[in-house]
Amino acid sequence: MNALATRPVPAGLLRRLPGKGGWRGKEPVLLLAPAFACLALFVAIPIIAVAILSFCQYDAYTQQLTWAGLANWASMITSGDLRHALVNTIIYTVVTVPTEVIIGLGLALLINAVARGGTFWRVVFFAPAACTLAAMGTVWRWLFYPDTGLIDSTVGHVIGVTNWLNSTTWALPAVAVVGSWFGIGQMMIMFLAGLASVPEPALDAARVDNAGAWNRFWAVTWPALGPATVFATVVATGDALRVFDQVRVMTDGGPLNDTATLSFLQWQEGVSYLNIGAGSVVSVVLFVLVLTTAAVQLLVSRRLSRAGSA
Amino acid sequence: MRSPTSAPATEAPPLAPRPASRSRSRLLRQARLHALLAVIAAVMLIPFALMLKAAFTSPAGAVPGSFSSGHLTLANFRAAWDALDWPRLYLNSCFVVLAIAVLQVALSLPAAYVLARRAFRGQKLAFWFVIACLNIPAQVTALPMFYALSRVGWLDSDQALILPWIGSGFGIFILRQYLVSIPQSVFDAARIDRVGPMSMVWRVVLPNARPAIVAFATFSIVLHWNDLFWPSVVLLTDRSATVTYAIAQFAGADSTAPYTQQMAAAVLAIIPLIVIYLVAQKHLVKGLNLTSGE
Repeated sequence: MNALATRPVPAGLLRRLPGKGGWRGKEPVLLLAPAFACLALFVAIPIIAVAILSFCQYDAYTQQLTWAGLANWASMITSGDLRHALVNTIIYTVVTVPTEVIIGLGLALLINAVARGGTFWRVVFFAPAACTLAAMGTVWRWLFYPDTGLIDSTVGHVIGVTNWLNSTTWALPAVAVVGSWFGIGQMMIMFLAGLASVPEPALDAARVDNAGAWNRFWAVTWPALGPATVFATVVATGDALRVFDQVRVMTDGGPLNDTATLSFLQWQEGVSYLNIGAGSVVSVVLFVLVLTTAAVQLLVSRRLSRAGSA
Repeated sequence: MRSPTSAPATEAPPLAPRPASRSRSRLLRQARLHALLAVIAAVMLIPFALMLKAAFTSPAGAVPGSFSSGHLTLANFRAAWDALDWPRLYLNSCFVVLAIAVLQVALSLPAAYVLARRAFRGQKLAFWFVIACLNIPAQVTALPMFYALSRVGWLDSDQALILPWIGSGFGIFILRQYLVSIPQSVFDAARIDRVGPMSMVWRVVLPNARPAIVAFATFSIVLHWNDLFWPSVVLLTDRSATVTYAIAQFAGADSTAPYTQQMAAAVLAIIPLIVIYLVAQKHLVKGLNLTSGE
């Protein structure tokens, strides 16, 4: 049947064959085509188009697209905005990912240890992640309000840092606090799923050997959580590199572009200023950053799993 | 909860009163755990508390960003409700997220079935194409889409919010992973009956994949309801505004609306999602876990 389908028989002949042989050869194509056409149209072609657009100039008045060569790249690189946004994105990622993963893991361990009410706590701690970040970002902006805001009036006076959102140093950490607050719930869910795969007999054996909670964690639980940790880190990193929502509603990129991430900068250039060519340069840089990070994570996790099994 | 099985394993306890004291220490340990969780929860839920408190506080006595002691009022909600066309925002958000979820499932399910259950030439390549698409963030493809949509005159419309999402590499991937785990016999019976491809997907694959479909759809609905980035790219006016887009306009960084009114608007914005979350949190959690359950 397969040999028949792959031989270059005229399509009309196949269709006229009786029984299921008629549609079998074309079935995969028929079922894949709608989804794959959309993926090609809305994902694959745009990813090629964005590279081309980064060499083009868009005129908002005549709505004409013209070839600009390296002009966009030259102006974006020399203006410093691109480098600034790249650094901001990397700092944001380096701050939020470990915070989310570690707190998410801690919460999952605590919830996993309670005998009753685990579901209740899971619902409570996932609530921030289920809420609209754009709406909660506005609430956080008020929490960070200078002087009277809850953060300035409590921790602000203790650590001596106030007026976070107007500070060129502390606005980005403030945005990272909100991103972490939003991301912890998702990490917790992933670790709870990972904890379900921790071998119960091994834990019991460790208990019989009078291994303390700390040793049980490092000897049994942590190794079993390897895949969950890798996956949680990958997801958290992907989200962090694309950060946009709370930047838009909390600082709008300010002060002095100090919270402008790559996502925000490309939106600001391409959509707000209709400078599509310059925005596309930022998109390409963001894509390269996402790819590089994914490749590094793949290599590291492979090496870790090899070291773990050796 | 695991005491019945583990108790016999611990070699006969030498001291008689030990089981009683152990159960008490276990109770104490549980209480400590719950107390610790409650403290962390109290900290994490502060933004919700502040939002609710401010939303119900009269603007006159409200101190920005703190739990001020003004008298209770519904005036903020009345003002926030009048400031935006909420029924239309809710309806439009519902329409957009449901359309995305339904179309994603309708397109992804047949593709996932073929990738999971049919051998054909180029299958590996097709699967890698899905994986590649799944890893491309929407932010990266936004500007070409923005340009294309403006050329065809679709900016500021519902189709601009919906269409770019309907081909979902993620949807295909997790539905495929689920279908791979279903026993082959389920599909064989239908194949012997020479069921056509469409009725195969509709009558056999769909009912069998229901848990994964519900989980994925819930995940997609929450994700797209919350999305601010894409509406910010394709919307120009309030004509097709989603709740998330409207709240970012109304209470965003350069908002001039009073603090308490912004908080009332934030409450109105997250209420539908809180309801969806409380009703469907089980599916949402399953949707998240499907991604890691390879």
